[in-house]
Amino acid sequence: MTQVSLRQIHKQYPAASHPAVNQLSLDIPSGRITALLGASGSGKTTLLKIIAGLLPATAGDVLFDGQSVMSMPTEQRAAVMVFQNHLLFPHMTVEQNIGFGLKMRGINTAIIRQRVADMLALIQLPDVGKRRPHQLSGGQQQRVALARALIAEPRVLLLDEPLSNLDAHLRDEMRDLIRQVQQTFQITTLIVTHDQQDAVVLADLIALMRDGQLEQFATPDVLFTRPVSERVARFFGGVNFIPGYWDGHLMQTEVGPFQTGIQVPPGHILVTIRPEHVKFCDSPSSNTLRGMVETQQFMGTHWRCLVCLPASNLKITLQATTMQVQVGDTVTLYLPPEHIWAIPR
Amino acid sequence: MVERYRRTPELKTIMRYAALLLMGLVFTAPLIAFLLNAFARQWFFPQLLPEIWTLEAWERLFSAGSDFTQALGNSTLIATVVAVISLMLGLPAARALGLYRFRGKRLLEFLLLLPAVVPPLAVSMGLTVNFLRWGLTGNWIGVALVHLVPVLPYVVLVLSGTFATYDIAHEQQARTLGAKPLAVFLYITLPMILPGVVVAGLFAFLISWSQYLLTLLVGSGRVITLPILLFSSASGSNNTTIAVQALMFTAPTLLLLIFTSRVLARNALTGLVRL
Repeated sequence: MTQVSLRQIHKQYPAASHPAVNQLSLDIPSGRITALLGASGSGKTTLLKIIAGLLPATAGDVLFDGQSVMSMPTEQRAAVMVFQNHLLFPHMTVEQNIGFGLKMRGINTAIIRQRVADMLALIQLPDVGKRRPHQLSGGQQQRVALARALIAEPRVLLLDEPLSNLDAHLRDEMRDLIRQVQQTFQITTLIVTHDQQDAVVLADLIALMRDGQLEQFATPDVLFTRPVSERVARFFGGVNFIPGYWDGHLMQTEVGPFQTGIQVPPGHILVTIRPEHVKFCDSPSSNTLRGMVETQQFMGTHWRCLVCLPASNLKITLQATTMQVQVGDTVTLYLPPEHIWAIPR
Repeated sequence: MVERYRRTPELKTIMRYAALLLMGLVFTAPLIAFLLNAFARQWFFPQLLPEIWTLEAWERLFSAGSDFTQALGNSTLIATVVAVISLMLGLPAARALGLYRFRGKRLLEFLLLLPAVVPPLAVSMGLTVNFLRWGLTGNWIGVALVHLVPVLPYVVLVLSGTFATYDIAHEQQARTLGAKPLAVFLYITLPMILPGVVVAGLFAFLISWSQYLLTLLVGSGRVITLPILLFSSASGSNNTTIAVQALMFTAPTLLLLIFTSRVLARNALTGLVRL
C-alpha cells in the first residue's frame, strides 16, 4: 500500500520543442487502480518511466509514501513496470521469468519455486512453467509478464498499455485478471492507456492527460457527467454543447433558460448534457426544447437521433432505447435538471 | 506437364548435390593430402598410397621443449589473450554503435573498420617503429597488442550486428524487477548476445592465430608462433613435418567452426550481412 505523489514533474527532451511532461502534479492513491489516459504523445509513458526511474525528470519530485525516490536507482524503487510488448526474457523458461524478481532479491530457490507455482495457478496457466516464452500465445505471454511483475509484491505496479496488443476477447480476460489481482494484492497500480473504454472499466480514478499536462483527475463517472472542459467532455463522448450565461439561479441560453441544481461560479458557460440523458416528452414545459429530427440511426443497443433546433444552428443528440420518432418529425426534448452540467467558458 | 513438373526438381536436386560434392572435394582435397603425408614415410611417385605408415613426425614435433610445442603454446596464448581483450574493448564499442544514434557515428564506424581495409604492411611498418620505441617488440605482449589492430574491426562488426537486433528495454525490465547493473549484464545482456559474443571471440582467435606479417615484424623473430614456424618449415623441411604442422595450424579453425556452425548459421552474422 503505497501512495505515489508527483510534484511539478517536468520533462524536456533535448531536441523537442515542447516538454513531454509539463509541471505535472498528481496524487495517486494507495491500493487503487489509477489510469493515465491520453492520446499518444501526451506524455503518459514518459511519466511512467520517470516513476520507475528509467528516465530522469528535468525537474520535479516523485514521492512514495511521502519520501522522495528521485535519488534511488530503479532496482531499489520496487516500482515494477510491465511493458507494452511484455518483454519476457527469451533465454529463460516461463518459471525462470516469473521467479526473476525473487532471484534478484536472493530468495531461497525452494521458496521461489513454490511462489512461482502459486503465480502460475493465479494466472490460470499451471502447466506452462517449463516452456519458453516464444511457445506461448500473445495473451499467455501478457499474463506471464503480469505474474512476473506481481511475484515480488511491488510497492507500485506500472502497466504500459497492457491491453493494446490483445484481441477483443483476450482484452476482457486480461481486464478481469488485472482487476482480480489488484483486488487480491491491493497494490497501487498505474495503468497507461489511450483507450477511454479500458480506462473506464479498469480504473478507480482516471487522470486525463494532454500535451504533458493534466486535464482532469477524477472518477470515471465524474469525467462522463461533470467534465471540466469541452475537450474532456468530447473525449468521453460528449456532443451536446449550448453556449450560455449562468447568473447563479438560471442558465440563460439562446434556446431559452434552463433550470439546474448545479453549483458553479456565475459567468459565461457551456451547457452540456450527455446524449443518454436527453428524453423525448409530449408537452413543452421547463427545460424543454423543440426541434426537428434530422437523422436517426440504429447503433446496436440504442437509437441515436440528431435533432435540429430551428431557433438556432444548434443540434442536440440523444439516445433512445426504442424507436419513438421518424426523421422529419417535430419533437419536444426534455433536459432533466439533475443531468445538466455547465462548463466554464 | 505433370511429368515435367515432377522431373525438374529432381534434376535440380541432383545438380545441387553434385555442386556440393565438388565444393566439398575442392575444400577437403588439400586436407586429405596433408593427412596422408602426415603419417607417411617413403611415399614416392607413382605409388598411390605411402609405403610405410608412421607416427614419428608427430612424436618428434610433440616432444617436450620442441620448437613446435613452443610455437603452439605461443599461438594459443596470444590468440586467447587477443580474443579476450578484443571482446572487452569491442563490446562497449559495438553496443554504442548498435544501439545509439549520435553525431559522427558513420565516421567512427569508418575509422573502426579502417585497419581491415588498409594494407597490413602499411599499418605494421608504422606500428613497429612506435612499438620499438616503447619496448614492445620481441615479446608476446607486443605481438598480442598488434594483433588487436586487424582483429578489433571484425569483433566490433559482428557484435554491433548482434546489438542491432537487441532490445535494450529488456534491461530496463530487469532493473524494474530489482536487478542491479551487474546482474542485468550477467543474467540478461550476456545471455541474449551470447551467440554474437561466441562468434566474435572465434573470429578474434582465428584472425590472431593466422597472423604472420605482424607477428614477424613486432616479434622481431623472437616470438615464434605457428605461422612463423610453418613458413620456415615450408621452405626447408620434409613433407611429413610440413603436413603435421599444417594440420595443427588448421585444426582450431575446423574444430571451432564445426562446433559453432549452428550458431553461425542462425543469427550471428547479421553484422556482416548488414554491411
